[in-house]
Amino acid sequence: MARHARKTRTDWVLFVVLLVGTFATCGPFAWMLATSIKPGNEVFVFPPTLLTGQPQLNNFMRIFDTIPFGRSLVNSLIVCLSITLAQLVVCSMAAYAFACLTFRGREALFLVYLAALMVPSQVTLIPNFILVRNLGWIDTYQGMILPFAFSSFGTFLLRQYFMTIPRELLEAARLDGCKHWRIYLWIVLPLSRPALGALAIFAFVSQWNNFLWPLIVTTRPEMQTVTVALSTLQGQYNTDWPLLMTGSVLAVAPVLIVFILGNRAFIAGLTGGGFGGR
Amino acid sequence: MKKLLSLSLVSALMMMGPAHAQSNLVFAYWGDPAELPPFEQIVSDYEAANPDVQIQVQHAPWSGYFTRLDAQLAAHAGPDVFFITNVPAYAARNQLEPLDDYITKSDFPIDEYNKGALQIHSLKGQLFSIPRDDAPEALYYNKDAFDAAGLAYPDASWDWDDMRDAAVKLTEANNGRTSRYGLVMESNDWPTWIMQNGGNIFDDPITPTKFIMDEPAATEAVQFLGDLINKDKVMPSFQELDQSGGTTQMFVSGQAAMAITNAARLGSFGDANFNWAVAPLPHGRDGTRVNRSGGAGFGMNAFSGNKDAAWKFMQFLCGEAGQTIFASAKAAAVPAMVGNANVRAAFQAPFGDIFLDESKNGRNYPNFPGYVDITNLYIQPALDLVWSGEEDAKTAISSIEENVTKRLAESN
Repeated sequence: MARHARKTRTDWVLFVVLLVGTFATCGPFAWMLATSIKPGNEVFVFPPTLLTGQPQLNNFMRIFDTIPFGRSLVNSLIVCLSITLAQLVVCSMAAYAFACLTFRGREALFLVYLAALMVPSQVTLIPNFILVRNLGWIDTYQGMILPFAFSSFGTFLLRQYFMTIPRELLEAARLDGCKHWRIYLWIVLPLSRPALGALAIFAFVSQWNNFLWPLIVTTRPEMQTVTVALSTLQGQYNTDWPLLMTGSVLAVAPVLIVFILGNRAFIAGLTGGGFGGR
Repeated sequence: MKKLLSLSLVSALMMMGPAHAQSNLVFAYWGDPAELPPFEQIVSDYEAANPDVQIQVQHAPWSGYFTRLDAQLAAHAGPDVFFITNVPAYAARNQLEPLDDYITKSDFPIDEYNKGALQIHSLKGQLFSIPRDDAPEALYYNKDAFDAAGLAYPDASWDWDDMRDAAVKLTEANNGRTSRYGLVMESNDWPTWIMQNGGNIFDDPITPTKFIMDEPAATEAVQFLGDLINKDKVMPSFQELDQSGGTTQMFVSGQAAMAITNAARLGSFGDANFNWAVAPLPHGRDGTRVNRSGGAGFGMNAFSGNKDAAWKFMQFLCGEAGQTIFASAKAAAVPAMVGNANVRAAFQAPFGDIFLDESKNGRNYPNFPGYVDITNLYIQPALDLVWSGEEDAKTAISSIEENVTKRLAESN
């Protein structure tokens, strides 16, 4: 009985802590949802209102008239899905080389590879831009996709996971006559589903939120991604907050769907890959 | 067969030849959705009048415009004609085409523009962009709040102390929290107050040789603003202002009874569910009237491959035709071409006369290539100490004098 009571008490403490965390995380989302239907002059009143007396549901129509929002959603989906797919292919192949092949200078090469993680993207922005411009890829999908087709973080993540696959398994496959392609495709990849799922979510979400690159390589509204399109609602002096929040609600939806679909793989990938936290 | 093919090829090539001398121009600007119609109208009007010209428009929001422009210019690419501020910095990097020769050659009426504005669009005596607007500020006030407090509306006779007295009476607290401030203003407006008090930041805003912000006339003004925040508590700190959505949101939501800001707000204050009006900016204690001069303009890319066509478009965009369109737009900008009667007549914004009058009091804020660094490194951190009440203005500004002077000598 006493033990039971103690257990309930710790449960309650845990519950309260988690509840605080939940509110802290969901608060901004609640504000975003609430603001998306508020009239413009009610956004910053104090005390803040959660539910407005005059819901402006037409914001969800207005956003499609004010900016080419539908088109930007499609652009974002094309760009993000392509980058995700490209990263899965490129990173897993590179990771296979670093984890499962033995060749001279492998560790040194891997270190150099990892060093790319330390280079801030701001440094490579201008050279990348010049390169893409000289290729004539301004305002094109390939200009937005290809610079992100490889990721040193993704390679690192997958390599760490591939290292945990028992060597015996790979050797057995080789004894049975498998070449590298087969081992990669039939043994390593299927066993690494959690890590691949985690990388897919990382890649998709970070690209969905990417602002700087799509901003500078697109000049035409019909090529803009959703982050760039939303930023056009923010002016130098005036910002239509309800409309901006309406757009944000609609922009968050795809990320939420991807996360729910990949959730289980995501968490397994984080804990299983020996890569907690990052 | 072969002959026929080559013949048709030749004729096809001929059809693509100079019969249609298409020239393509790229034109870039920023603006929120409400500010875009005049730009779009200018482009379509110009294309209609010049069927041989195609203008491709590059629009970006204010927040991302300069990031993209900087990347494009660094790659020696970018739009032919673009909307620009902070002109000396771009001119110093040789990214803007000097315009004086074009102006002389085509007799462009440059004398009709606001003199102060022309100064900040120049570097070392050369003009690098043509000003579009001036951005003088005025005092917006909540009439209902004044009525409820039994106060007379602000007018041209107001000086600093009248403004502060009213702000004190209009400030309301509720459970220890200020529910309505008497006054809000933009965080980068402080030079106006220094100049109204007879002081300045440098001896000259364009070609500075000496830092004089540590003189009493300047520190007194900074202290006055600091006291509005910390002593009188009638103005929010600039950090709080920012978190509450800025002057626009504070005023519209009734959390500030007066707001000092520019004409761009006329449109967004339309949302307010109370009566408001605009008054001239209060003047200094000795009657000195100063307002900030400035605003954005249009420049030509030094790397443009089509400079003659670009200048032809600029004459339309920046001249009477374009200025009239900007002046009569719903989100009106106080026109820079103030010497032109038609442009002045087109400026029919509510309270437009007040803004035009204020435009005459315009004086330039510092505007030279090294100023951004000096502000970020020294002036702003010192001011932040004053705004937070940690130091008085005299101490804070005296302590940076040496560093600024050194830096100024380096940048000259």
